Amino acid sequence: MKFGVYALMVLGLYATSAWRGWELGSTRRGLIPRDVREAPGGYRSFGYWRGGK
Amino acid sequence: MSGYEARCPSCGAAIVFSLGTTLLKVCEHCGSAVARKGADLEAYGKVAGLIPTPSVLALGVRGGYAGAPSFELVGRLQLDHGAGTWDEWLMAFAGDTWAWLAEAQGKFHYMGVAPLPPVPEFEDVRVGQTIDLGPPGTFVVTEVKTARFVTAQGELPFDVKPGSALHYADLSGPGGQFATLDYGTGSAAEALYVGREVALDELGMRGLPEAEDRRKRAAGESLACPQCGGPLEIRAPDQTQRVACPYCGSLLDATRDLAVLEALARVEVKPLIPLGAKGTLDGTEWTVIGFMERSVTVEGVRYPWQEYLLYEPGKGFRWLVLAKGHWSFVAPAHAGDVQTMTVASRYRDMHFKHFQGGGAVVDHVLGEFYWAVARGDRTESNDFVHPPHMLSSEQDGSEINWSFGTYTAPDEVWKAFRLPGGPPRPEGVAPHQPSPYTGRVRKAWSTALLATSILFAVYLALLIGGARQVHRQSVEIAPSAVPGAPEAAAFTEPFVVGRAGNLEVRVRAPVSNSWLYLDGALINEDTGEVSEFDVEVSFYSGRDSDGAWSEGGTEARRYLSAVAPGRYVMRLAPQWEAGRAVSGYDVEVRSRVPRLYQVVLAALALLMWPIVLSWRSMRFEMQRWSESDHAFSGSNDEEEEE
Repeated sequence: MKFGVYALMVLGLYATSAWRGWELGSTRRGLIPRDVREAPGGYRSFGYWRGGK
Repeated sequence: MSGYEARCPSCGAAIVFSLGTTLLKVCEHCGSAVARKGADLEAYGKVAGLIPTPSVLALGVRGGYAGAPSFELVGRLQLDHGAGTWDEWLMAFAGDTWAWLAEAQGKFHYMGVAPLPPVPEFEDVRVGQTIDLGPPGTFVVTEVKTARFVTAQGELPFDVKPGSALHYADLSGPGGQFATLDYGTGSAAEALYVGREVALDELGMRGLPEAEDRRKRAAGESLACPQCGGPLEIRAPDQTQRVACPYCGSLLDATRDLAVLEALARVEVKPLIPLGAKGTLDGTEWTVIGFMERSVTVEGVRYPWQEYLLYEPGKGFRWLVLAKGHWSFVAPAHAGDVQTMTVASRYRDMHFKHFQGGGAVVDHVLGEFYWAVARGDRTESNDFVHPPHMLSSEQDGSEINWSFGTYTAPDEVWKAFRLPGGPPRPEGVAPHQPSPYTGRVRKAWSTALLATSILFAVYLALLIGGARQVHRQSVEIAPSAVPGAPEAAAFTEPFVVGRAGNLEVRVRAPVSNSWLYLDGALINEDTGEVSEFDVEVSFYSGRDSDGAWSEGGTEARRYLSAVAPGRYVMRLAPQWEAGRAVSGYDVEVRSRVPRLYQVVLAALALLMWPIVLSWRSMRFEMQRWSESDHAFSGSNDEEEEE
């Protein structure tokens, strides 16, 4: 019974993960204001400032 | 019944053979055994007086059994095979037919005459041997002995002198049938009797004490030990053959006025359940009347266990066996119902695996016993298991007995007998201890496999209809561009992600022995949220002493987690190996892409518990079989149990 509940939870977790599109690891996210984004050359990625590869 | 009247050749008194087929008659006047030899009579001399037995039957008692014509007890034969005397009553039916009613240890066996098939001679009959008795079926020999014709009363269907040694073999057949091969005084079988155990009440005998009265009569006699004077309460006086005094341990013969067979000064063991204690097991209140400690010795190490003899007048005897803190409730089993193979047995549609065999020795006895027990008695025992049951055989040279045990929780025994404190802590795993994993492993696997099937079905459904391409674009890199320079970066055309989900960014680039690295950013034009990612395409190939080789590919993917619906652009800043410029690349973006690794992780999470349970179950079985004569085979009884 307990394992049945556990199995349902795993199935639910997978369904939620597939539905929401969760991926392992975190995606680096930030907010860039519109005026900055629209300024020519205004947006540089974090990677750029770190020097890229 | 046809009668034959004559004069006793010894005293001249009138004697009547009530059955035309009876050949021996004990004269009621002078006690001589008179044999009928054709038209003549011959006196064999006076027979000994009857040995007192607890029987409530008597000559002249009438009854009716199983729809057969009414019968009358017309003869009584007393036999002794050295371990006690028993009665055989001759039942005379109307029409000159007859049957035996054997009475021993409080049990009655109705045995009718059956056609005698070809059977082995007495010297060739062995305990445990199977013999085809024709229509009654195939029987197992359970006892091969020679009994002495002690005395008789009334008339008998054979012409044998009192005092003669009579050979016989008892057999057990299917469905609780019994059979006796009567070899008389020779080697060739003379008669076959087949029947079954009957309760006295089934025989419809008139004039006998009621069953309850009989039980009360047998409820207990108080005597004193002739060795130490200690009071002895005999709780099964009609069946007890041996009494071991609980005060001094002396072994007494209950069939001969408690004659001392072995004198001791002190009791060497103390039972955990006191003699006389009453406890309810299997719905019946049992009284502990005997206790014995037995052991086997393997490679110089003694392995003891204890057995408690339980008695209930209406149901007979049972055993409670204690070994290493594990208890078993044991009942007798009909040998004829056991199918034996080399390493297995079958009983009551259950398959038992052989567990252990060895020579068991009686070390200590206390209380009363229905057989002629003695310290040092040795039997060859074999145990077969089908948890929670154990089938055991015990065999000496002339007798084999089977028993059927059921594992009983120690607390249940303690509670049944209302014993103080707690039971001894069980050690290890008992041969027939039910596995705590029984049923759970199969159920866990069933649940896990069902859930995993659902999991893959969902994944398949998502794979077929889930993913959707939201953008595709080819990007050229100017020949003058410098790797990593802002000027080389490109923004994609805007694209719309319609539903929340992950996002797959797939990049294809014509790299060969070089690489292309993209520093990417997914920008939500509505909210300004930027999701950073990078992706590298690299492909190298060549040839060495092992032949051609390659590494990487011209395509790479990156997945972005939980991207919200909205309008997006991507900024892609390329870098490449100096001197190996890449002309451009293709980028494809797909939304809501099913991910196999998630299914695999979920499946592992589902299968983990059944795998753990299976492992634990296997460990339990390994521990169980480590004490056996057989190496652990890896088979799991619980699968058969289901």
